[in-house]
Amino acid sequence: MIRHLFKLIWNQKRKNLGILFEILFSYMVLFAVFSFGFFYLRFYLQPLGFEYKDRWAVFLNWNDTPGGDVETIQQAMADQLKGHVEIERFAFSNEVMPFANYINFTGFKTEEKSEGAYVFTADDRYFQTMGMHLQEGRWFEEQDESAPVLPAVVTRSFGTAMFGTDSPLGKSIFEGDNTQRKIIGVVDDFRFGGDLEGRNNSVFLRMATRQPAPRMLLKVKSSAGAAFEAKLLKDFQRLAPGWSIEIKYMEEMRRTNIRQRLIPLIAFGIIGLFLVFNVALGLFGVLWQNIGKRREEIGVRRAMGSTQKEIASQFIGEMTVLATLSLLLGVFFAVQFPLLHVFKVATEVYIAAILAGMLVIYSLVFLCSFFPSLQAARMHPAVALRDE
Amino acid sequence: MIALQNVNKVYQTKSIETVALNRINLEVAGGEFLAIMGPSGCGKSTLLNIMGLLDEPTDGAVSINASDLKGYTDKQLARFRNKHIGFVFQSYHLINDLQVMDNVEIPLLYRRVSGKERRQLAAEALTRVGLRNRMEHFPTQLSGGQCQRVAIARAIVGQPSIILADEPTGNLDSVMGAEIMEILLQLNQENGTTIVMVTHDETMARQAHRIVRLFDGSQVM
Repeated sequence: MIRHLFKLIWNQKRKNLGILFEILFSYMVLFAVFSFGFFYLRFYLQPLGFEYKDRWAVFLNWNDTPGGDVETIQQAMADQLKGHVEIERFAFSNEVMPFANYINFTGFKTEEKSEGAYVFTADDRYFQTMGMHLQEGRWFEEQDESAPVLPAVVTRSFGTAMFGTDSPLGKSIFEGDNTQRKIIGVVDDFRFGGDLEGRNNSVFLRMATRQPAPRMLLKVKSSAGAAFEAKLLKDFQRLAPGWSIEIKYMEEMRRTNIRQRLIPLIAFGIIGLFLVFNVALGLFGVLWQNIGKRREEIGVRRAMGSTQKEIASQFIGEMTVLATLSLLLGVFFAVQFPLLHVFKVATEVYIAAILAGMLVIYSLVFLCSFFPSLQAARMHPAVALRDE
Repeated sequence: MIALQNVNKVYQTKSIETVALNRINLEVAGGEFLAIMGPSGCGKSTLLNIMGLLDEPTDGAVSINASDLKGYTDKQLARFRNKHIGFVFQSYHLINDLQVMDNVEIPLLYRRVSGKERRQLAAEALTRVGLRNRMEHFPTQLSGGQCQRVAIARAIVGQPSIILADEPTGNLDSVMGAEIMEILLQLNQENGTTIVMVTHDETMARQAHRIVRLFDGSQVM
């Protein structure tokens, strides 16, 4: 029967070529949509390298306050925070923080190699406040204030990019202006860009004890809510009357970040689904029309001893064979992406997209051919032959 | 071989009731060549469809080879048709996208006969109708007479005991019609195949063992 189906398809090649390309086109669209989807899903499933739940970010803008006064006010703020039972931990940092739109990208080098990295300036409490994970060495401590060489903590990705399989601990790196930094710790990759951004090279530099800090990060108790936020804001504004102060929940910042990054993805997905939906409609229409044109054949086959089930299976089988031919061609094109390392996307992502695309196409073809095939099968043989 | 008892066939639409067959009682013996005649629209093809299990009677019973077919499922009817009945139609009903050989193989496909055996049996059937050298042709490359011979090869490939022919010479000229009639007579005489043939042609009908005439859905003689 398979040979018979192949012959029938081959002999109808001109008619089937259109369907074949339609399926191929929708497969390539699905492959692209799934590649994007899995690419970002893979990021989404990876740990961020820090915690965002029950974390608040305080945005501090000290406007025209003179330099010395800023540090004094910030120290007063820190002292006040210690008095609140709702605050479990707090830390200061510069503007570069998770889910924010600030970045600081700098080149670092050793004698052998140079790599770019995102730079964070954070105090000694930042590591614990953000719930980060240490892989090697340690985070900054007060003793680093007087260290002969400035300390740095790097992420695993940066360590691997710069030193390969060697441990980065104790090694020196140099910033663009040749400032020497000694690596004292290695942390998990810090995906500050959010859930939908990949790993990147990051370097943490120590914020000096009395250095003005435009961001304050709080680890609050889960019971802390809007009332405490309002109270805290009021207390801060009393300590720093001329400052602009804003408190944001990091969970909310994360949601906004995801939403912003999902918009183009959703738009692309909708366009892809719209195209696939059109293809499905086209397939359904072509099959419906095809069956209408093949009433004579259906009647003859029924007269020759075909059951309703065999008629339905034949039509579904023909479409499955056509879909398989289209997919063979589609998969041939799709596998070029991982083979040629196009767009530097992981091979697993492409493989998952290839398989998911195949699954959807087979399901689509089955759905689109099922009802027309059922209609063909239910056609009364005498009626099918008489109509002809 | 084929027995019809009080067979009625009524086509019912919302407002119109059309009686296609009215109390038909007919027996066709094994090895008989029966011709059915009558004017257009008298129910000849409907009768043939009912005999061939392509249509169901509204009332009455149909039995073939002593099997009462009432209550048969679609699958059982299909298998019965496949094993016992061969069809030849006026307009041949060949599948134009398949070569002659593949067209003839169709009944064997539904018997799960192996590809090699199918090809062998189809070649034998085509040899019998004188078309061995046309196996690779498509129906559109053949004349009407040749197409009807392919249809006969398709009807006999599974060696059925009954062949139902619905105006098999209706679309052919007299020479080709005579050739087709010759093949049918040969099948009847040499193989003992029961043949029921609907025809308008009195000359063709006279070559059968018996003629049944229909008028307005009723048997008139």
